[in-house]
Amino acid sequence: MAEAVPEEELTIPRAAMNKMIKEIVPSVRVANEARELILNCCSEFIHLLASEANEICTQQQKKTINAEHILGALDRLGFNDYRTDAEAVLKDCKAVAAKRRRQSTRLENLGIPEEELLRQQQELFAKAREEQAAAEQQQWLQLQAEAQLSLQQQQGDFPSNSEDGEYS
Amino acid sequence: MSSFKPKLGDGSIILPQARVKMIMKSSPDTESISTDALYFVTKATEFFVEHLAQEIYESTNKSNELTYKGLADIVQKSDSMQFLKDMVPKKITYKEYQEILKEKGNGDLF
Repeated sequence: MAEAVPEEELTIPRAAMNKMIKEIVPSVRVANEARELILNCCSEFIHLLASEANEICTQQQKKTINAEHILGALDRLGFNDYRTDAEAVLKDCKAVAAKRRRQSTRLENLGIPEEELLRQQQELFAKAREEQAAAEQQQWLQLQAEAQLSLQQQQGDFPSNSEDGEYS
Repeated sequence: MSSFKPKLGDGSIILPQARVKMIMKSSPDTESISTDALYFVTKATEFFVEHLAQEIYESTNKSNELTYKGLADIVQKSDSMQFLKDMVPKKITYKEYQEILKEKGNGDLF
């Protein structure tokens, strides 16, 4: 359904509107004409809100319209009730979201403060580095010893009690 | 505005935010909108519809029909809905229209 709708006719989709009306006034029959009208009124409302908020935004010399601008616009247009209710709803939303985030963080439940965790992490890194260095050192020494041994063998530098080789 | 307690005040959203954003952007000079701002506009629009529906329901003596006329009446009466006046003019009969024309004098209309 990707037809290009001319901007002036852009409205909320009918299905969404019907669902809303059903929830608000379930026992009421709504004439089609009235539905159409409500859709257009919504668009008008949104435009009004957008323009007012845009003005506030420009006055504050900001580039992005933020929540404060919208709330201010609602006040200026005389829709304070919507503002208070919307704010209350948003606060609830944020509280629920924050709670969910906290519950999903296991570290939070250990009761260890962040700085301590950071310190422990640094310690672990340092320890790992040391072990790595020690292992490499060990390897290096081993290689050296082996190289030394094979060098001695090549130069024919045998101690008298060696039983290797075929020299009598 | 009479005491207005939204039924839809549980944080969930029915209207599609993407479409609301499109409508906002078709307003001149509207550049970027933050996520929170979009949420507020969508929620406010929902409250608006709710308010409208409730007012009409009450004003038509609980009759079970929401009609064009009901809407037009509310818009004329309510202060905050004044911005909708041009969208919802009261329907008049052709006869009434003729009378208005007579009063204004035809010259004004062309």
